[in-house]
Amino acid sequence: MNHNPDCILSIRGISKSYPSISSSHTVLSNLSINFKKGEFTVLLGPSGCGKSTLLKIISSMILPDSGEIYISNIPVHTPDRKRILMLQDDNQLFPWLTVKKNILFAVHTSQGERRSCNLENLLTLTGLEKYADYYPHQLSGGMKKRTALARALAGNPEILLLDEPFASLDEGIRRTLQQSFINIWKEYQLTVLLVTHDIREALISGQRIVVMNAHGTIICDERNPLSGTAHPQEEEFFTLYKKYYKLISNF
Amino acid sequence: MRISLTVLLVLLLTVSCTGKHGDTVQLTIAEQYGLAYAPLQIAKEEGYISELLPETTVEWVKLGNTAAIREAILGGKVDMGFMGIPPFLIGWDKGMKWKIFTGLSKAELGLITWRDDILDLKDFGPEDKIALPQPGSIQHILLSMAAGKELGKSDAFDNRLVTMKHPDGMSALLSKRDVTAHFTSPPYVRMEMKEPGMHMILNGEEAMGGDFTFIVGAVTDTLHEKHPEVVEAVKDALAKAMVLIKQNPGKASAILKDEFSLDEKEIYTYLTDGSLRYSEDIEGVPDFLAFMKNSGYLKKTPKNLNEIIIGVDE
Amino acid sequence: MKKTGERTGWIFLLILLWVALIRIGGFSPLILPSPRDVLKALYEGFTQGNLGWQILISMGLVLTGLTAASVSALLFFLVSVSSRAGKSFIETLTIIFHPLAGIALLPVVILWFGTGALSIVFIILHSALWPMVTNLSAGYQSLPETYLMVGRNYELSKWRMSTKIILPGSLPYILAGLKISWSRSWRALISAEMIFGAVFKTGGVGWYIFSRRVFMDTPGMFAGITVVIIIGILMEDLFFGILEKKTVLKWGMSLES
Repeated sequence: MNHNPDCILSIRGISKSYPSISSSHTVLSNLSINFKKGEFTVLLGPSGCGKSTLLKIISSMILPDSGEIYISNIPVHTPDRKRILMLQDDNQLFPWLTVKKNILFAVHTSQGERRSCNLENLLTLTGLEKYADYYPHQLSGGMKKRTALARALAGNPEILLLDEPFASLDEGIRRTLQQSFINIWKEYQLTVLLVTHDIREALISGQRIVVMNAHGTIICDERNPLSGTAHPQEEEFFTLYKKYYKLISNF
Repeated sequence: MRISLTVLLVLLLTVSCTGKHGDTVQLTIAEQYGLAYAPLQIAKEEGYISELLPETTVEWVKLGNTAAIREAILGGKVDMGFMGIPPFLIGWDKGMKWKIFTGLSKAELGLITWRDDILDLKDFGPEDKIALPQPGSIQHILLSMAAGKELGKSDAFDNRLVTMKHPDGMSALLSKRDVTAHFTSPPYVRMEMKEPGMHMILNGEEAMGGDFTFIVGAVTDTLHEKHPEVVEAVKDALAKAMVLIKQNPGKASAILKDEFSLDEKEIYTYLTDGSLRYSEDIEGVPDFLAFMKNSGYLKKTPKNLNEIIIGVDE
Repeated sequence: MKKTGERTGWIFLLILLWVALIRIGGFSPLILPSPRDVLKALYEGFTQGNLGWQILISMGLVLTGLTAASVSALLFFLVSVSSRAGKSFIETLTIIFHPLAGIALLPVVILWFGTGALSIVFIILHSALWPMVTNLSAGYQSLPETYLMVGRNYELSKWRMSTKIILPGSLPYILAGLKISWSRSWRALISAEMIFGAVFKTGGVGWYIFSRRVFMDTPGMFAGITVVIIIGILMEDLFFGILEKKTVLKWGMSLES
């Protein structure tokens, strides 16, 4: 194990299985991986490979059967606001709060004081300016995601864990949002771990791409040569896309 | 929803009550629980009424209070009921078509307290509560009469009443907590007076200023007009039972012991200690009428007593 | 307000039916008084009697009982979420007491608390508490796990977790419970008043009905019942209607949807 001071998040020997009808179903098995501060990593894998479980374990929402999570070389066991998890679930916004108040929920500390937050900026970035006073049930699925993203950002985390943040969005909005998210990442100097099954999204946004197979094993972990410059029309993009597609599909 | 239910209920009640009384005469008598009704119990147990009226089917219903008896009579479910004079007068005042046909008993009524500092009605404080069967009952009217005489204000206690059946009122009194005094009737008067520290502030005669009938029998005009012989027969049966109680209280006690699930000796004591006197006489109606009219409990009084009592000529 | 219109329409129809019933059936006014008589009795109840006070007393008793029930339900709820043993204890209590009608407890209540206002409040408390406890725990169980995850992620204290997430998140169930509690305790109150007699000098609406009964004032009895009905409708349609519109309906959290 390295003790690189740059390493903000370290996952060591994580295993997790769920009880199923006949026996237990192993989702993650002895998984280890490190993340550098400020790095934008995309975790790519087929549905059901344990990506979401891994994010929940990293944020300490659920505990692994074995293994440890280290933040700046200190083991952690309970959730904290340094590691904000944006869930995939549509149900993560509080229906009794408006968009604005859902976002501001993140800036209240556990003692109830408010941290500083540029609400206007966040609303603009996520394209929610006009919807600040809407309630979640009045929003489309995409707008709910954007609100959840804005809330996650408002909390000003060190590590942002995103579970399919742009899935179920229209293609156009998705493109814009992906681009503005890259800008946000740069501006806030966040460490980002984004989980997706969308190869295109991985190639466009990730600095580093980690591929998990259907059994929860890391089969590829490399720099994304196209980071920040990817363009779907390029030859290289197409080559990489095919490579990852094969990996995910378990050829 | 609730309104519709109420309407429906009233509808059902009234529809089901019509069309009774076929060719054979049917008589339904409502009784209440208590030794003051003893002649009625004996007439029932010994079959005195059926003896005199072989063609008539006699049915008995036991009801918890006079309001229920009035409502049952009004609904056509009951032809004859026994109660205090004031509840009868209230029903008559409100338009019930019925008359008193007999007296049943006179009784020693009393207002009993456990508080040494209360010797008189004027000693009651604003927080002191008085338990009695219900407003409008004979106990309540007697209390109001006494309050009118002694305090000049007949409704002085109306906001301090607790409605309780006699046995509940007695246990409330004996627990010496919630209830300061209890206005009750036999056998509870004697039972309560036996307890240490209890004393009587007021008895029925003092309140009334004379003798009066405690329980009277009332019959609907319909039955009386159609079958006066039935009313006469019930009256005779009750008289026979009264004679039995007077001449052979031992036998009467034996008959009554099952009805009251009391010890025979105990009943014998109650029947003979003078706290209850059984008689067909009807006394005190004019006094109740006058007081209740003056105090606003009644809106009208009869021009002639024969409007409300069968067999009086005035 | 379509609902209000419909409601008024139906009530109007029922009153028409009532009048028709009197016209056709020729009932004695002692059995079925006319709406006019009832209205007159109602007016007299307010002007000559103490009906206004009596309504206030009844409402005051119910509110006191409901408040006590809410506080107790919250405490019970905290006990039941604090530990497994607490949960099974509260569940057992609920199973024992929930089906027990308040009136069935009357004799015991008289023994313990006498026949005053305290007893009535206790009966209301009993009638209201158990539906509240049941609904609170149903609300908690139906709370999406994700809400709690978000709360944990932002390091909410137990207190803030309860007040900022669990309570608002369970509000549809809390409101449903409150509605059941209200109607159960209103019913229990009227019955208890009829048995306990006059509390606070004049007594409440239940005592009004009872005292009308013993004096055979049928229009007065109907007037009292009318008051009970009107208060029921006002609470159901107006109070709870507005409360729901301002909260769960506005938030898209209604249990029906």
